[in-house]
Amino acid sequence: MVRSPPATTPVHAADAPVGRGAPAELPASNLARARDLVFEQGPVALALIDWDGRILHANRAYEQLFGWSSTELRTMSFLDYTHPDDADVGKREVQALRRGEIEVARFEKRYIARDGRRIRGRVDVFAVHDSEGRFVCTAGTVHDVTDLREAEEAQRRKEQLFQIAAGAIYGVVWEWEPATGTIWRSDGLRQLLGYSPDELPPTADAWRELVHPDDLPHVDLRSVALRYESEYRMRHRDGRWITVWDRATVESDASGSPTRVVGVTVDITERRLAASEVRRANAELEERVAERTAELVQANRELEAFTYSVSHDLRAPLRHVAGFAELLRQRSGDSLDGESRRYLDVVLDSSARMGDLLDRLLNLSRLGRMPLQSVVLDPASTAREVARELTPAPPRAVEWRIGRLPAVHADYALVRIVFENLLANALKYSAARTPAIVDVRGHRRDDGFVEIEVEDNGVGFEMRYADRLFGVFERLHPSGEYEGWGVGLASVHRIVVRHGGTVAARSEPGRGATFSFTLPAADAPR
Amino acid sequence: VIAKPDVLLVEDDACEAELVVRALGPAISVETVGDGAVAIARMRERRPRLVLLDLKMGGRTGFDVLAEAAQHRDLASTPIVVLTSSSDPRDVERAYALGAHGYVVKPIAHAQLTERLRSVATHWLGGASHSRAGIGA
Repeated sequence: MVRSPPATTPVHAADAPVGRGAPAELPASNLARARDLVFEQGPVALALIDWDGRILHANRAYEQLFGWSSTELRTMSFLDYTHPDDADVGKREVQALRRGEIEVARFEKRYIARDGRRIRGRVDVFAVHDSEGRFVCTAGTVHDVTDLREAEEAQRRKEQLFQIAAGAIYGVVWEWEPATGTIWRSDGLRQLLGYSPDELPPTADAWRELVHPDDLPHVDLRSVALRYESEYRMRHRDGRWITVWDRATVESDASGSPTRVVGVTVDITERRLAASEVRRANAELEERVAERTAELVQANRELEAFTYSVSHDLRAPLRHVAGFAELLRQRSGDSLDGESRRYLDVVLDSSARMGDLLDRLLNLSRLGRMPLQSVVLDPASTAREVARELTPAPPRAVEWRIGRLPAVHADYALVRIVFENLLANALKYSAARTPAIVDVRGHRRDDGFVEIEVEDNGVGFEMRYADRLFGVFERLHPSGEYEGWGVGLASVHRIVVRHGGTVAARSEPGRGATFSFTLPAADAPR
Repeated sequence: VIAKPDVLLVEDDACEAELVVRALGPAISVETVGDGAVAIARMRERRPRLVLLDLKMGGRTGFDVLAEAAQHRDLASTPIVVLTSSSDPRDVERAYALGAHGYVVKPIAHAQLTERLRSVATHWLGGASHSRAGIGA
């Protein structure tokens, strides 16, 4: 543009219609004016710069780009607004231009405008010669490509991000254009199926050939609407079958036909294997739990039946022992010597105790079977009833301390058995105290249960045996020292557990014992 | 001719039978049948005022005897009281369902057995038919 074209070259004004017939001519003076106009007012930043870098002239676009007026610029060098790091950029090209080796020097460099704005400019420098061919100055145009380069950079980063992301999913990213039927696939294909994208024809058919025949119905892009999601098997290049998860988003035109389908195919073989492994392990575990539960239920049932029949079958011969010993005493008691009468008394006494034991065993085996008939009841009055019955004849002294207790929702007959056992127990082990003190107290807990404690001032026991207390036939004191049988606490345990409660005991030898149990509170939701 | 007995005891265990007889005392006449299979025939033949029936017997059980007795209209007025070791509620229920008039669980101690049987006898035979004298409670 700056290099003077031959005067005879016709120039068409941008909007001028192209005439037919003889070429249009424009007088040279008008042509010069047009050139000046475009030079001065045109949108391209343009400056004439001498060999030392001084600005000789700058047009309006140049002024606007860098922020200085043409007058100001004429006192400056272009290096004044060149980014310091780019001072040498273009030097080599301009030297080549001056030597006439090239017609235009092209390069890109950074500037700093008057307001501090960073500008990336694409520069085209021409050499201006006079009519004798002597070098006059350079004419340079600067195109502001800052936005373009930033956009390019952003685009580049996006592509890079896409590449990283596509690599990270361990699968293929693909794009299908229904119009052409071609499919583009990312490099992940190599990872997924062992083929590079070049090796597999860019068609849906090529893909379908690798799909397991049984799964082909699940792979049909033509049927996709808004979304596509499928799971199927494919043959890897090395021959093994892998399970893939295929998912795509569909873009459609106004009429609803897909214009572009973009999807991801990932390998989920291991995940599927792991999931089925977990499922199998779960099923196995459940089966084993069910088996064990059934075994326990069966064992429990057998144990109860055994206890029950043993209690019954032992009663008949025991009654014979007791009955005939009694008949013997009635018939010959008077003629027996003292020692013989004592023997007979021991037989009778022992059979009575054995009968008592059998009755308790029988009751215990029954507790597990009877359905609960829960009612709202006041445990304090039940405890008092039992206490009245248990109070021994003088000279033994017992002080019952039965305070107010929160109402419970429980089976009356069973709660009675609990108190019978615990209060009898408390009396039994505090037989040596005068008075024996049995304290019954309780409170409503936050968990919907009422906790009731029975404390005595008896001999107590060692805590390390506490968890043995509630088994059948466990007694912590040598037989004979204290009367009674361990069946009682086992019954307490069973009754309380059947109500959903818990039992506990704490003690110290010689300092009394406290048995506690919980029953559902009457006001708790059920 | 043997006098009509107060009680027909159906019991296959001789020891049990003897204890029951002793417990009832000499004032009450007892005839014992050791086999459930002949119990009904003896009941119809002897017309006892009360039948004491054991449940667990070899061969025909007390339940069988109860069921059979219910078939005979002429036995409708003969009270049958079950006398057994079993306190299983299911046995109690079943016995009453089959028409038993009473159900007595035999206690171990002889004194208690005596007491219990005497009150059963008093209820079904009336106070005059026995005496509290004799074997002490």
